Amino acid sequence: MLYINHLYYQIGSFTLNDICLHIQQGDYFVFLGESGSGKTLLLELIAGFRTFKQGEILLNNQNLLLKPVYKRGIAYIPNDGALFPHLNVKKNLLYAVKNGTHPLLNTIMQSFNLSLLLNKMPAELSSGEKQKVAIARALLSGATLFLFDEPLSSVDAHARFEIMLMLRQLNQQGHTVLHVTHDYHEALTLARHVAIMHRGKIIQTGNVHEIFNQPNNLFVAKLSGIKNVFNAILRSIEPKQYLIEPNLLITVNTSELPQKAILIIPANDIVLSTQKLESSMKNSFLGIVKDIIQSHQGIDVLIDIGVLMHVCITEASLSNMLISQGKEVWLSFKASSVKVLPSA
Amino acid sequence: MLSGIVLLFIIAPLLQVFLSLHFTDYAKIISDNELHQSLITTLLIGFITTLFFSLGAIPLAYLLARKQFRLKRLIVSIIDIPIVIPHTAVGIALLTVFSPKGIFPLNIIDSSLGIGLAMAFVSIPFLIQSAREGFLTVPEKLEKASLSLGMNHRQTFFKIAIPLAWHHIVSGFIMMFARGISEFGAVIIIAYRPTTSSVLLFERFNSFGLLAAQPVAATIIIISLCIFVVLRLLASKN
Repeated sequence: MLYINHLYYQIGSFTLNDICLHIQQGDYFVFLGESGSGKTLLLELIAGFRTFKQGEILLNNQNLLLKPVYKRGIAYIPNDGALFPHLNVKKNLLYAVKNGTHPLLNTIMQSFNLSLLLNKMPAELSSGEKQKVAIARALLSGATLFLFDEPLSSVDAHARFEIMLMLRQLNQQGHTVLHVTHDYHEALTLARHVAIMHRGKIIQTGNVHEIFNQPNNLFVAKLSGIKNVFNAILRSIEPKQYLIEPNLLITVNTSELPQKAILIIPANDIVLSTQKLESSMKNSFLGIVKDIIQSHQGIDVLIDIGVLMHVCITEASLSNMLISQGKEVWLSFKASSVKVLPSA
Repeated sequence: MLSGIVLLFIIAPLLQVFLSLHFTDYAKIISDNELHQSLITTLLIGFITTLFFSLGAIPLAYLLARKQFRLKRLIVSIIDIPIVIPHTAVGIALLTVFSPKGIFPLNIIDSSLGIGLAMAFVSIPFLIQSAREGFLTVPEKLEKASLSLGMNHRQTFFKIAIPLAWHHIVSGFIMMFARGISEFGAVIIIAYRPTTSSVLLFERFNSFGLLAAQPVAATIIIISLCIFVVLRLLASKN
């Protein structure tokens, strides 16, 4: 459906660099990256708000450069929905509809629960309601491709889930969705395919499980929300040990032993104790508690063992072990818990 | 204290013009056909001029707000030049351009066209700058959303940019109109006839003195204030 071939675009000192992508009809494709990585710029180039000189973008085999922005059938929905503030909800919905009526109007209004909002002005709507109206308006415009720029960034927690459901429904109805975000949770929840962007480049692309299970470098791993991820160099084959700079030796138990690797040590697999454990676990280190952070998954204890390591424990364990900042603790994990990925 | 003095400085002369009028002066105003004619001429030419030039000034303001191009800052500065040039010099400059041997071969001396051009030249910066500020307040993403929903640039301009910048545009229109109808220096160089109200006021003062000029001044001030208030009310309703 959408082909992007060797696309370059320069703005000031920033360059979008050799972007190549193929997005299939009906895909939910997420561009994941930090602020300033070029995600929104890429979306604007696809939408047609900017004109590029090098590369090509084809939509259904048609060169988009030859089509003006208003004839592309690409709906662009920024983070606040961009509702027209001088028009009420009904006029916003029918903005792009000829003759002031649309066969799907009632269906969309019902499925999006918009009936009670029709006479309200955008300023009277909550952030979630604005997004709902914006999505419904885009649907009524007859667009075939939907570009969402951080659609969940400005909605409150309550509306977030509802908007996520709407985005999924939109995609399940066969619409192709491109979604820009810096939040890996959104990618994990919604995406079928993900492109990781960094400094104007796509540094990894693939289906969502590939990206999150096999990040090809440290940046992707960290952006994907994985904790305890480190660059490492193979130190010895027997025992199977990797060195994490400056001097942390980690024992692994994998058949593949790439020379340069990314080691992932799941925070849930690490055992915390106040004394050294007598066990079969090959990795055991003494460290100092640097911080204790409450998270929705439990307690995240940050321990310095030469590198900073996250350990997930329960509140009960925290109080039983009397763990506090500055205290010496032991952390242990099995060699088989360490995931070894080749580093690109 | 100083603020009060400044306020008094603005209000006192305007008020004094009315306070110094005698009852018989009002009768003179009512029966003064020359004054009535000059007011109609001034308002009509001022309004038509503002309307005509706004057709070009508003799109220009939009371009200056939205597009990036070379020499843009220079052009924005050039637009303000008419405000700082002595207006009699403006009249002379216009006469050199609009003359049978000028760039625009037109005879504008003693014509309504000449008065309109003089009014427009000195007042158009107010409309352009105000409209430009208005367009700058319209978030660009709204226009992007409109384009992506299938509206072309012209439709987006009229359905999104103009309505959202409307207050600034009307405000600029009022300022241009008000500034245009009060123009004297450039107008008197180009056209003594048909007589505008400012020229009539000057003529009465020059020929018959302060007392004869006061009723004309009072009428001009009150009509200008009325127009100003009415248009402001219209703008705020919109």
